[in-house]
Amino acid sequence: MKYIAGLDIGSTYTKAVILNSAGDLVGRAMNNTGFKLSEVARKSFDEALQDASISESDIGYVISTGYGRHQVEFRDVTITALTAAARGAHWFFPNTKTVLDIGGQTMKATKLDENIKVKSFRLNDKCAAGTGAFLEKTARYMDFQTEEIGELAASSTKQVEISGVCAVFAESEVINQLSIGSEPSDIMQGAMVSLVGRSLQLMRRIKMEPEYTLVGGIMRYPTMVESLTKELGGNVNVPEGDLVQFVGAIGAATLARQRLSKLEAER
Amino acid sequence: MRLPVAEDDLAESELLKSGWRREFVASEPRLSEMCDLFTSLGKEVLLQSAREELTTQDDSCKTCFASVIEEPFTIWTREMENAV
Repeated sequence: MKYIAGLDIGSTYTKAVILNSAGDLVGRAMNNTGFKLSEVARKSFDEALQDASISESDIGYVISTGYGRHQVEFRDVTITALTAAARGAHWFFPNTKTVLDIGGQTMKATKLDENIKVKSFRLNDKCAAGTGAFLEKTARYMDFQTEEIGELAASSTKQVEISGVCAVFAESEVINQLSIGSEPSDIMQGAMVSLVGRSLQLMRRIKMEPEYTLVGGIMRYPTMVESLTKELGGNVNVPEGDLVQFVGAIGAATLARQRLSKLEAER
Repeated sequence: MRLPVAEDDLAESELLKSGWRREFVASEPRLSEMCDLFTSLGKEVLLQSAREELTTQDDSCKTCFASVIEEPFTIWTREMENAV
């Protein structure tokens, strides 16, 4: 069997992975999505091929997912982001029953059945409040970069209560807190705690069941994972390091592997 | 995919009485994806424009939603066996 590829064109980052015939991760790449979706898909794919030290002709099947999945010209098929996250979470942690995925613009809670299929799901309602955009804006209003969010929140010594999760109105919340002497680190931590509250609401609505697997860019912040783990009472899985951002792409690739295997058996 | 948009402005109470459940509000490109998923879960899907609902919210949300270009829809679902 040839290699297979999965691409996740998210609203903030585009991720590409390569799996070998045994289903092992052998190459990956990530880039900011920007506005040229087909270009960033191609670039990420090429970089993942390079990381795996193989060429495009070695690839037998490609599945794309994420909001820009239809812009991947070299794909074989597309799948939804929820299906991809479910498959990816199962690849990392086979006992996953509930997936919480927080990305740049969405918060998704998904319950899986015994066949790794989506049983029920909920998305953030109406707008991007309570997603990565909220944390990024909060950091930016305090003159910090996205890359500094994790460290900033982790250095908090006193929790500050942040009432809203609206990315647009994060500025006034930040100004209010700074004016009463709150530290940026405590404000950042407070912002994460408010996201945790929102996440739990969403998970309750799908009648969450352990084991829980946390995925998406926001889960690269230890404070977020620690708060969620505490609230969920354990039974929480999180892929290591930046792999937490590749779960959707890996999920797409595992399905690609299944499809290719079926196609080869039919030949 | 042709999305099942409600032609009449049905009241929430009527929808609830007919077995519909309000899911959430979404816009494209995620809207089609979510409708596909609900359908794959064996649910009937109905969409209602949420523009009015969103622009009559409190001032903070109203200003933000007024700038949304893609039409927002409330997704309603019900089990296929409830379909009339």
